[in-house]
Parts: sequence; structure tokens; C-alpha cells
Amino acid sequence: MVRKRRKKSVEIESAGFVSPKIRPRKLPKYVIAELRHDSRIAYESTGFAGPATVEKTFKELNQILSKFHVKRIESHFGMHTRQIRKHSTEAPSTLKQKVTAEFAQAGFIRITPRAVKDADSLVKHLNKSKAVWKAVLPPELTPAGAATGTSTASRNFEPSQGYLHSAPNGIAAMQAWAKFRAHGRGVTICDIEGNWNFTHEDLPRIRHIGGTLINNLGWRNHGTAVLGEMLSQPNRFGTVGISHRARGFVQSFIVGGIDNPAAAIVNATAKLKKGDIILIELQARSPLTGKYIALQYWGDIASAIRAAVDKGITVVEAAGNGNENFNLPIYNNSGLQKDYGAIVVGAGIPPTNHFDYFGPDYGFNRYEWIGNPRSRIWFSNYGRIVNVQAWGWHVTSCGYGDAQGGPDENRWYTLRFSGTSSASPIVTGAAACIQSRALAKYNKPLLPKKLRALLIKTGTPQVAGPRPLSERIGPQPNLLKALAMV
Amino acid sequence: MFASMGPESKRRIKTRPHLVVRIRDGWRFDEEKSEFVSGQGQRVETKADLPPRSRVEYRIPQLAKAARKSLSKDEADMLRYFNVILPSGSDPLDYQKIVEQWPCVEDVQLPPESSLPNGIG
Repeated sequence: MVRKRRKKSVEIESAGFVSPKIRPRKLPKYVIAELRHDSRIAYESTGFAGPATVEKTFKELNQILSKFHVKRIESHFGMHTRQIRKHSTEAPSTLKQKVTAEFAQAGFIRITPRAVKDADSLVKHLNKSKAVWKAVLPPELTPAGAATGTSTASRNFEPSQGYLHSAPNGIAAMQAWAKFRAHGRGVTICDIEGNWNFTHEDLPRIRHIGGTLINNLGWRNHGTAVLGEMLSQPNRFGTVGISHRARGFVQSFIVGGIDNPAAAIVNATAKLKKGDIILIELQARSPLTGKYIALQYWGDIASAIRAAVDKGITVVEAAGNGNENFNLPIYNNSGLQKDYGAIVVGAGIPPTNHFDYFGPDYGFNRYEWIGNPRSRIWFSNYGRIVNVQAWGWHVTSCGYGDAQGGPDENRWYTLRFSGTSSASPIVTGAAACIQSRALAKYNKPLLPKKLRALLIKTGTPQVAGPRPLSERIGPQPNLLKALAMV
Repeated sequence: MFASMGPESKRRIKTRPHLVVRIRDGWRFDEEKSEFVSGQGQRVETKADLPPRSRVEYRIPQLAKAARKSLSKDEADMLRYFNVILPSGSDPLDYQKIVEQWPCVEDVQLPPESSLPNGIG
């Protein structure tokens, strides 16, 4: 004999907390009628009654009751008939005095028709009577926590998005939204890399404008996490992007079957307008040292960046994770020592509570070795051309699935997006908020170099320890200060 | 180790091996014949030095189609960059020296192999 397994009342699965579906309880359907204070009508077990002056009115009400074969009529607040009659006869004089709760409650009557289907019609008929202030069906009640179905939806990771918090820990995005209503509206951000999850539950519609997508989970997770930091939607689940009202474009750097970031930048430039933003989420090995460096080292890419900036488009570029000093003499006269107008972003240490310790196996011998918040993180490139920094470790965003996994990739979230990859979208989101503020206030965006200067001038300064300030990655944006100057 | 911390994701897309060439000022590209032509009429036949199924193309083809006068200084500069695309399986390093010998060439580089800056370098 096969026994049916009883369903658990509460289930915990990898996707999160799941509660059983709450079904509304089956209760007899009734109508609540509130009589007018001055109607002088009361109800009795046999129906409505009152003085001869209102006979016509209470007879009308009794006709309605008989038409609907009323099963029961009673006080909605459990009051005795005598009390109700007392209040109804007192009504004309009481109206000049303060209305007591008991007086008000005496006017509420609960009427239960024999046939449930008659309840709606009974409400309509009662509302036509002069003696009735209002007749309604009672609200159908369900527990508040389950009313919207949130217990079966994704968890809310917004509290762990410390980079949104006030300076010096974060970029003060939350404060900026509240004070300046700068959410990126009117600005388009184009992310250049390899792939994205276009159907992630927390992302808006993203437009793929060109290039061949790399069909690989790692690339897809990366792109999704980048978009999540900037564009994920404000709701009851997942994360919220810094510039969540901005539009999202994406462009792959594989153009014409080869790696061609310059062509990708040119294509994005052609699709964007003044005030929009290109984010270059790539790095490549230096032909001189083999370390990862920023892409503006290559001449064609540098020219493409400057051409975009000249058209009023802000370019944000990841500095790369090579622990490389761009000021080295070997890079003299290279793109790593020239200003093409891009905002080059380094990675900084986040506050301590956003830094897990994974033990010596991962190369972290002691917490002290990690460094002070806003000091250069050990892998970030640095140098004169690096303008600003943001969190380079354990950034909460969409994708990957270490925070919330499960079979559905559209519901994956991470607490551990890292590198100059995680830092650059923070700066990009901040830039989009500033441009949206400029558009709202002046109807025109800031020039890219002015925007960059503003981020640097108003940012929270870099901190030393253990790596010195001479290893420059610049300040961390402070949106509250920056927007006050727009 | 968490996926988001790890080194760059392995690429799963096959791209053709190629070199990135910057030509000297004063030279132009004849697309029909796949030749570089100097202001004085000197020609560099690219096909002669490259293996079969190779091709030379503008690095930024969108700009090559635009009217020259409409281009900014940087966009015009980008028109001096070309991809020398080689057949699959060939090693670009084998051809770097050969291409450097072309009189029209200012610089030849292996293309940047782009990766994601989310790992530890």
C-alpha cells in the first residue's frame, strides 16, 4: 500500500524560505450595514423597528430582508438589543454631543443571507435605503506576511549592499536618492564585456546592441553581476542598483569573429548620446610584464575611448587586477600614462564587515594583512591615470548563486563579486546618478571630464595601510557631496 | 573557492588568430585588391606574404564606411589600424616579423587577449 507523504508545513530549499500556499478559510458570507445615527431605527430579532415617524423606512428595510431570506441578523459588535434600541431612540439629542464608541457601534449590524450568492445583491439593496449609511462585504483576511507571496519569492539582499550606504563606507547612494531624486533617469549605460543573463528576475530589459556573445556561465555571471550593481530594480527581493532608473545596453567585445574592444567602443558610441556612459569591463595581459593591465594601453582602444569622450560620452574603465604600477618607466609614453578622458577605476578595500576571512588556504594570513578600508586592495593596478576607487571585494549583486542559488539561474545572487570588475560599476552607477541630476536641473549633462573632476574632488580620500598612498587609486565617490555641487 | 572570486573565466568561443597592424601616415588601403597604397603610388601586396585564407580588414569597419570629413581626429586615427586575420591553427607570431617588413607598417602587435577583471591577477 502506498502511503501519501504528508506535505511539510514549512520547507527550506536552496532558493530560500518557502511556505505552503495559504488558502482562504471558508466562512459564511455576511454583510455589514451601518445605520445612520439619525435614522432612529434599531433592529430586533424579527427585523428592523422604530417609532411611527420612520415606519416607512424600516418597512422598506424589512422588505429587503424578506426578499433575501435572511438567515441571521445581529449586532456586529455583539451588543444587546436593548442597548441598541436605547441608542437609536437617543439619537437626535446625542448628535449634538460627543459620539461615544458604544453609540457608534450600535449602528453596525451583521446580516447573513441564507444563500451566499445573495450577499453582493443584498449590499446593493441596503445601500439604496435612506436609513443605511453604508453596507459592505467584510474584507477577506490573510496573514500579512503571505499576502503578496513574498515568502516564495527571492530573498532581499539590499541590506548587504553596503556600497550604497553613507560615506566613508559607501558612496551615499541611498542618501542621494532621497535628497536629490537622482536614480539615473534619462541616462543609458552600455556595458562592454562578453555575456549577460538577459532574463534575470531583478534586471530591467537590457538591449544587446552588438558583438558575439560568449556562451559561458562565467562570462554570463560576470555581466549579470555588473548590471545588477547599477540597474537591478527596487522591489521586495534581490538587490537594488545604484542607478536603477537608467537604461541598459550591452555590447560584446567579440566583433567580426575576433577580440576587438575598439570596434565595440565605436559601435557603442554610435548608439549613445551625450551624457550616456560606456563601461569597459575588461583587462588584458601586458606584452611587457604579462600582468593584467587596463585596455587603454593599446592605441586603437585609446583612440576609441577619446573619440567617445569627445562626443560627450563618459567612459568608465576598469584599471585591471594585475597589481601593476602604471607609472613604471617601461610604460613611459604608453596609453597607461596618458589621459584619454576615461574615468579609470581602481579597487579598494571595503569595510571590515564586508570582508570574509577564508583562512590561510586563500592567502589571507591575518586580517591585518588585508588592509584598511579604502586602501588599495592587493591586486588592484595603480598609478597616476587611476582616478577613483570603489569596493573591490564582496560586493552584493545578481548572478553566481553563492548567496541564493538553485536550479533557476534567473534567481541567482552573490555576496562576493570582486575585483576592479566590482568597483567599476559602482563608479558607473554614481556617474549615471550625477548625469541624471544634471539633466533634470539644467536639461543637459555634464561634460565627461567635468564629471570625472567632480567625482575626484568630492570623493572620500584613499587611505594608506599597508599599501602606501603613493600607490594611487584615488578617492571613493561620495554622491551626496557630488550632487550638492551639480 | 567561490565562482565570483576566481580567476578569469575560460573562454569558450573560437576566434581567428590575428595581428593588429598600424600603418604609417600617408598610406591607404585598397580593399578590392587587399593592397596598401602610398601617396606616391607604391603598393604592398598583402596576399603574397600571408597563408591562403588570410585576409586584411579595417580594425573598425564602421568607420571605414563613413565619410572621411565627418570623422574626428581620433576616428581618423583609428582608420590606420587593421586586422591581419590568419587561418585557424596558424600562429600569429610566425607572421609578425613578415608583416613588420611591409613598408607601410608603423607597428604590429598581437591583439590584447581580453579577460574579466574579477579575479586576482
